[in-house]
Amino acid sequence: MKRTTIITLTILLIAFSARAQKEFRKSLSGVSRIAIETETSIKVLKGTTNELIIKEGCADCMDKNDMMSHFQKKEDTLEDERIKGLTPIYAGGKDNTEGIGLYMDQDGEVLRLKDLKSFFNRSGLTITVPSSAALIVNCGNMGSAVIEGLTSELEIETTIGLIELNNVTGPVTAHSSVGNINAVFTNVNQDAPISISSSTGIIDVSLPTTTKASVELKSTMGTVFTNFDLVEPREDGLKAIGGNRSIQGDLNNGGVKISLKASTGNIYLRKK
Amino acid sequence: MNCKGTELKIMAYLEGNLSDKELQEFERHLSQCDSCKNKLRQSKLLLKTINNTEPFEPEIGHKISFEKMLAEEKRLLIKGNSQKTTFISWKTAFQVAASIVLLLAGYLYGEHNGKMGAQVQITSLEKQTGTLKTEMTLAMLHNRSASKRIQAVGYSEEMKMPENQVLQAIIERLLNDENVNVRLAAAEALSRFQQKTLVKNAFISALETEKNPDIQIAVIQFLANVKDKRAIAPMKRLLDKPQVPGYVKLQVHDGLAQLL
Repeated sequence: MKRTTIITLTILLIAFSARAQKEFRKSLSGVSRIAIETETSIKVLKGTTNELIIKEGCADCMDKNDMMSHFQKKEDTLEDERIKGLTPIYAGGKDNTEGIGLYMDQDGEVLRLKDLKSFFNRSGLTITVPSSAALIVNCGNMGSAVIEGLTSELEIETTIGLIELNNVTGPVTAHSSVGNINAVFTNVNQDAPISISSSTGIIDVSLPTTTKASVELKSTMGTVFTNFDLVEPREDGLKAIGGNRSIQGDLNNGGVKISLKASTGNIYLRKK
Repeated sequence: MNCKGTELKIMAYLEGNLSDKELQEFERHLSQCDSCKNKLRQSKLLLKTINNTEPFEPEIGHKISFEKMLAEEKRLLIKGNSQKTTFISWKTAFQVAASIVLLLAGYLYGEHNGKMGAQVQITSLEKQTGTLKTEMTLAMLHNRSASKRIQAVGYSEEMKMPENQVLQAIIERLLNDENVNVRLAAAEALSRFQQKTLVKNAFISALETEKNPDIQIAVIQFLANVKDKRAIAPMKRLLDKPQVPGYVKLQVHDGLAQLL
């Protein structure tokens, strides 16, 4: 029974990825910032070449329990008989990414990508970028953002979707109105501050024990939890520090500023 | 006792200064030695002659001229001595004093000059870093990178009293920055300047325009804190807006309670 489930899942996955084979590549020479504006969930991976690769579909960036994933509509396939000889057109502009449905525009060193398809026409995007360019992502109202292994500067904004940053170094500026924000740092870049805020979501940040930073933690109506020595330690492992004021403290004699701010959600700052 | 010892004691014998033992030895030797007897007789004669000689009185003129000479010599000696010592002490004293004065003057002048120079340099350097910091902050507040803009807002917290120009630039970030975190950082940096009308006005207009709940909360808390009555009307309007989340309205109620 278990085996059957696994096989079925594998077949489904293969079928899904086969369908989502469509990809768009663009050389990033001369580009120092990539700004992506979309309504869907995206996953950004670190690439080895100096190329931007965009693939349709994102197998694991959607929150499986998310109500919104049930609304996802299957994409129109170009193999469909009806669309032979026709091209899709969008209200937001003309697709110039070979059928992926994005509008691309380069302004000096800044490459802008605007998603022309709505949340309901998408089932995510998987984007591969080198770590040399700063990444600005706005996932609109519904999209989530998952970032893996990028050591470049990140600016991420979502409304409902979650933000997940895995093995990043900063500088990071992340905000979500409702979504949770999880961030795991492998190292903390000392050049510019890290700022993470969420209105109603929680913020969960893991830092290496040796991180040098000046942290500021504030949750207006939530609680702040940490196992770093920021205030007088208590006997239990994770200790509650909170109240209305912000908590400020230095990790390993201080360093770059890290500010985590939540309005109603809790804040968790952990040792990695 | 030999002849040599006896000869030495002749004078003592004649003057009667010998002890009994010495006297016996002296007389024994004298009885045996003719040369010593002879010497004794000569010595007796010499003494007798000296005792019998009349003392010589110098003539009056001699004495006067001698005493005059002596006095003259003494005078010269004293005068010369005193002149010499005073001259040396004055000169040395003057030299020492002059060198001390010179040294002191030089030191003080150097010190003063150095201090003045250093102070001038320090003030100009301080001024320069101040201007540089201001300029850097102003420039960085317009950086493309949100993280850099936040850093620039943070710089203002290091300034004791930023110029209005800087405050104005941060206010612009609070009201117009596209990034929520930058606006939030600006609101927090500005919260420090509760006395500035400029800042209070900015928070009043932010209360009207801001849509993000986090910043709304920061703005409400600031205005309630400074007890700015102008905030009452826009706060009440927030309560009527259906899109404003409940927890922001909670803060509005809290703020209104402090204001009213």
